[in-house]
Amino acid sequence: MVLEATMICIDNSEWTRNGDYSPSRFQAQADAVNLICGAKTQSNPENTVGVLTMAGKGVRVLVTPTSDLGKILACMHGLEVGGEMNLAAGIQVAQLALKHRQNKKQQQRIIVFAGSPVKYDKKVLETIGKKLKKNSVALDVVDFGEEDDGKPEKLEALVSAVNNSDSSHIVHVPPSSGALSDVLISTPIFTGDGEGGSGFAAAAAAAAASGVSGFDFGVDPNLDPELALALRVSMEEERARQESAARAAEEAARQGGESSNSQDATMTENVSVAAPSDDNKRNEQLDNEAALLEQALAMSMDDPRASQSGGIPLVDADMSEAAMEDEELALALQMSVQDDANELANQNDLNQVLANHSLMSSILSQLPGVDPNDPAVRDALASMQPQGELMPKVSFLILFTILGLNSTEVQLVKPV
Amino acid sequence: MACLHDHSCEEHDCSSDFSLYKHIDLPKVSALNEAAPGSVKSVFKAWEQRLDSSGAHLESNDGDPELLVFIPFTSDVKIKSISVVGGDTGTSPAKMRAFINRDGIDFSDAQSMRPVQEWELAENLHGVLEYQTRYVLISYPYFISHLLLFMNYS
Repeated sequence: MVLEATMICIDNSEWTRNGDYSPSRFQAQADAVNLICGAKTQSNPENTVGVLTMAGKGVRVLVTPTSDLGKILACMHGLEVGGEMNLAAGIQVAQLALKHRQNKKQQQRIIVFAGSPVKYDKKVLETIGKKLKKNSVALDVVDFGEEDDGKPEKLEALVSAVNNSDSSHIVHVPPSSGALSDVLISTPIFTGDGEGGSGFAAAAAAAAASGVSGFDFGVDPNLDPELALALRVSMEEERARQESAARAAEEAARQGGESSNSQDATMTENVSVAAPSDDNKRNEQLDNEAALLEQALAMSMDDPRASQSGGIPLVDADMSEAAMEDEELALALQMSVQDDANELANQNDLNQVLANHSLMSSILSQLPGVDPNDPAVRDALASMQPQGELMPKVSFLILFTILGLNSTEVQLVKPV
Repeated sequence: MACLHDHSCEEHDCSSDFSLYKHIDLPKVSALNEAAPGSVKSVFKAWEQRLDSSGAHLESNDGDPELLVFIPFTSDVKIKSISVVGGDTGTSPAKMRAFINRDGIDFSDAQSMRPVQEWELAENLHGVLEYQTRYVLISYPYFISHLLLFMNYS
């Protein structure tokens, strides 16, 4: 967790418009810069990072070394590509910016992204390197983009002139190696000579590789236990609250609202109730839609109570949030909660609605984002039979599973 | 031990008068442009060992005869004189500049800023030469917590 002030030198010359790194050299560079800033600020909260551009009209400092990650990320927006990279001037300005850092106890480091050809010769670069070494500034170079002959050697000479007991590194990233950030994650540039930064790097690598955080609520309990706990507690509370709301709603449903309005409202409530009525300790690990549907179908086939584990995880959370977000839904919920309950349920009404396939199809086709010919939807429809009290809840669970991704489009409550 | 001051050294122990060694914050001593990182710490010795040159030397990088030594003290001190022992055959420092209580000075600053005091050094292989500091440094406002010595060999 070394205390460090870093200046990142970005290459925004015309050469970075090229698309041999996806989506473009410049964009790949920007992603890598974002990752590096995050890693640095996370490995030590007092670390500062600054950014400057080397091409364009001239060397320009976008942000002086700061520990505010938001400011750094914001300044990366709206950068224009053009001009020619001036490596020597860029390094000198970076050195100057570091010299005037606020906390003199920080070690000085410069990270250079070199995407365009290097027009300076080796001698000049070595002199620059020696000057950096004399003032104990470390230098990391990312050699990507343009493969000039002589460029790797020049940059190697520069880094070895600066290098003092292995604090400076150079990484060559050829175009074929995929995303620039992924390659960089495993290098010492990221891992900070193998110390605290590696924790962040490992987490980032895992996230990048799997595409999913794999943790409950997307937060690593090791990294942020309080946040993970808070999320879990609020989820439980929400479920409990909805459960009690749903009980009142069920009774209202049994009263049998004829208007599609209240029925729809209660249906949506039954849906959000079904979520809490399921087991509490559900881990949000499956967000594969097909898997969700399969499980929902299995549930509707078997005794619903038997297979309540696994099932509809994250989507429930989405739904309850979606319900809360939509004002009209909230109003509808309130309406039903306030209704005084009559004990008799008119369950048959609900079942009839569901069994009426044509009605279901028409409802479904009116909903944006749902294609009635989607095999998943058809399966869901086919599986619906008037089987029991929990059936309508499960069926609408399926429906909302499909809609779960477009949570704002839950428009059942609006008068059709 | 040849002392240049005007009393006889046999009677009392000069070391306490003449050494701030105990007050130097040795772990935090650092230098810029040293050939071997960390060698600067070994050149500060107690009075009794001041002529013992068997340990590591502080050398600048090849071809670049400048050194910047940063010396923090554990308590505020007043410095009356400085003595520098250099190598022979032209490897002793020729000029020295002192800056006090400043952080983050690098070589360009050391060349351009006005130092508190500047000396021309003569070859001093046996540590007999001491360079007095200006009276201003010894008088009241100048309690010193950091001392920065810039040494030039040319």
